[in-house]
Amino acid sequence: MITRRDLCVAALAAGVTATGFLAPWSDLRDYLLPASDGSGLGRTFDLMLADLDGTQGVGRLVAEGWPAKGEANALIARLEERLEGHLRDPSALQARLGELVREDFSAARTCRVDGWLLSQTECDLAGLRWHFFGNAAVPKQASADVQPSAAAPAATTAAAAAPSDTESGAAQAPAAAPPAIVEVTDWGPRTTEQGSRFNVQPDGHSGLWFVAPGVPSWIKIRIDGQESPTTITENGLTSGLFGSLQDRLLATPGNYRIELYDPVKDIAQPIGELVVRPFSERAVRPDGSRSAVFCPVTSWGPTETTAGTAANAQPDGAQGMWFLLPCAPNNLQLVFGDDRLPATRTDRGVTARVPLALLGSPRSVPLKLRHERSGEELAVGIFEIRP
Amino acid sequence: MLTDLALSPNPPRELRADACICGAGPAGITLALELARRRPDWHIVLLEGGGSGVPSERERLLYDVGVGEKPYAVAASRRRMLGGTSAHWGGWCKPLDPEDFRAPADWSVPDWPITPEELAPFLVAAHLWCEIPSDRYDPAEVRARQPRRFLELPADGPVCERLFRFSPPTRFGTRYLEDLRGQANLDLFLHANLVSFERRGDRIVSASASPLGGRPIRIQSERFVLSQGGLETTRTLLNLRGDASDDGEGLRSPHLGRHFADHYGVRPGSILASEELGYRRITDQETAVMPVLAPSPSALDRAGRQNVCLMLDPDPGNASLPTPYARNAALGFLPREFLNYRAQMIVEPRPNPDSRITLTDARCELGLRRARLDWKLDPRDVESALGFFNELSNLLAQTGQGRARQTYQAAAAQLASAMGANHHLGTLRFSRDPKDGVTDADGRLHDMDNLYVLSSALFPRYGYSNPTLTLVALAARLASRWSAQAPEAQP
Repeated sequence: MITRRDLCVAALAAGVTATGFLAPWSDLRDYLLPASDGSGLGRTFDLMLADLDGTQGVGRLVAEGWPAKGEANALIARLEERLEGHLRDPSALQARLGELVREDFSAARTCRVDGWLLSQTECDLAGLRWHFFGNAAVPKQASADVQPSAAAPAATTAAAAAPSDTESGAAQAPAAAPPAIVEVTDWGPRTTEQGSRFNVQPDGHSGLWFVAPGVPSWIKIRIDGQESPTTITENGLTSGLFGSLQDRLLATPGNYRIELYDPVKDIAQPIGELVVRPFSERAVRPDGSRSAVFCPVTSWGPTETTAGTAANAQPDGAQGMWFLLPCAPNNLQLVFGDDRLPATRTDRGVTARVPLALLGSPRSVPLKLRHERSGEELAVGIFEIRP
Repeated sequence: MLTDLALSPNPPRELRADACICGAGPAGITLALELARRRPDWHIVLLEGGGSGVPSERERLLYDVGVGEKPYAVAASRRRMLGGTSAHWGGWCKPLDPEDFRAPADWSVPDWPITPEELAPFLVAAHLWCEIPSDRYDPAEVRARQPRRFLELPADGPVCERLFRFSPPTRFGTRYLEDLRGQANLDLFLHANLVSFERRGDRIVSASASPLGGRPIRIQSERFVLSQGGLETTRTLLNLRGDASDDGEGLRSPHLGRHFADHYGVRPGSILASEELGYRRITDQETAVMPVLAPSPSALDRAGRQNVCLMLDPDPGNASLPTPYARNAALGFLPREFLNYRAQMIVEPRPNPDSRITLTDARCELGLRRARLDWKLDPRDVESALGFFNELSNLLAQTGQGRARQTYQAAAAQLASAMGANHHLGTLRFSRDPKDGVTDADGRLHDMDNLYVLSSALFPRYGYSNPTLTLVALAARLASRWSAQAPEAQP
């Protein structure tokens, strides 16, 4: 059954959409609001709702989570009860709503939206605001420079117009096709330098690993179109660059396709590419000789912070640091002043974490990367801790 | 007088002392100088395993420690050098909160054997040693001068404010080097690695210390103090215990080596609040201070939680809840400008008997068994922190002062990646009852007549405050007790 309130809600939403394309926007709120009784709670309430700036992100998430189509009507009915006697005067309405919000928090009537702890009334209002006005930002003083292109979408198209920072990428991503053979959830190493073997095995081949639970026992790895010796393990496969294939690939920088190959069905499933980077010159040491293990650092960060504060803060408050360099050894440390911290080599360089305790007071901190095994150090620069 | 055993051609072979202090960090240096000044009739020997600069690779290897499942940056948490970890500390200082001296009944942890009132006079001296310009910690004084930096907090609510102050930071090894050199009744030895003790019954008769590969010196003393840092002092005592059982008191206490803890950080989420808040390092009366938010004493008692403090870093780029949101009076916000902040908390770890230091069978160059550290965190640490954050969230919302967003999830992976603050706490805790701890209120091992510990490893409960100031106060207190004088010594 369609109730009077249903019609009002529909009219309000439709009116909003239509005015978005037609109006000269001399007073946005007047156009946003239908001439009739709108939400059913009166013009004062509807104007208040339209004025709830900055609530779009929260409102969209709330409205998307409503269990049923008629939720807006149910909420309006509940609000009508709680706002009785305060719906005519804007000041009284505002004061009463503020009171309801505080009462909600006292009574633990709360909701969580994107991690924010909000009152239930607040969530309801934001949801209704989104339901009726979508993404439209309503100026306090409506003016002619508000363009129709910013018009509120109808509730049904709201998600597309929502602020990108609250959009769920997952919701819009096309469904992935099932893998032809088996899902490979991780693999590596994915890059090496020209002439450099990697993950070297006792027989001299460069080892590659693939996580692919449930892989059939007859599956092979193909590298650059060539089948490579493959071993099935508990969690996937191992393979690698052997013999002449290793010589050829490591001699020539490029991207080499890696795929699973099913010789029974004669089908292949791409996994990714092994990148052989051109050889990079090693860093020059202060005495003019070349480093045995480090390439020059091309970029690093963060370069400064304020005392007691971590730039690029990690969940525990430590400071994440990154260093881009084409080559670096394993077994690394970051030398932060006189302190040696664990560091990790990645595909593009090195990362490390600096505990907040070492960022406590203003100072200039020389940074070096250190190869633990050989003791060789590469000066990077000065990290500034400002007052 | 200063003698570097690694350089001196003819160091003494034998020494007699009234007090032999092993470890020249902030605690050891403070105790040595306070004692030497208070007791001109005493001869003080201060031994430092390192030199005056960064240790060599060979010296670093002495500190090599095995770690358990959870990584711990041991190498970055210790400095085998004169001045100890004051060579890299950030200078954050704050007395423990009064509540930190008492442990809730269900923690199975003893209260501190000394009260905040007993410690207070020595904190005055500690401020001088740490060169902190003021020893006043009432945030209300800062609030009176800078009201817009603070939230409006109900007096009987769950949230209160505390205040940190800052040492320059004092590098004890350089700041007090001339004092150490110039003190006639004090001998400082560098590269003097503590190797062994000679023990007779419940007394230590002498200690041997030597440079790497060099000849040892032997120090006979009336009393010995271990101030080598929490990890190394624990290792020294475990080595001294050797194969003896751990079912007794003092050196054989089952608590020796257990309850290892360190402070660590949690970033619980964000806060949308008044734009001028100063719950971070700010300037007041031309000095640096840091007001923080913390659970009120009544809330701590009521909830039985650990202590915690919270700082706020402005984060204007965070648009998850845009600032215009807070301009809506209809949503209960007070009329003011708002700003997004990132919240950073320092957690008080709950003492955990399974978090411990043990010895391995491997030995260092000095012949001492190496230590192994199994740092284990209690998930209730994070639950306590998030419980407080939740109460703050409610308070902000109920009073129209803002909203809070919780993003931190107490996932095991996040606990596993937490890094310590280089505070080695709890493994030698002091207690009134010998059954509850390793040492008495003075840091003397319960079963030994003249062997003392001076370290943050004494703390039975840890609070969230950085421990150096309290540790320096404990050093001043010990000096005062030994010299039977009022606590008025000056650095």
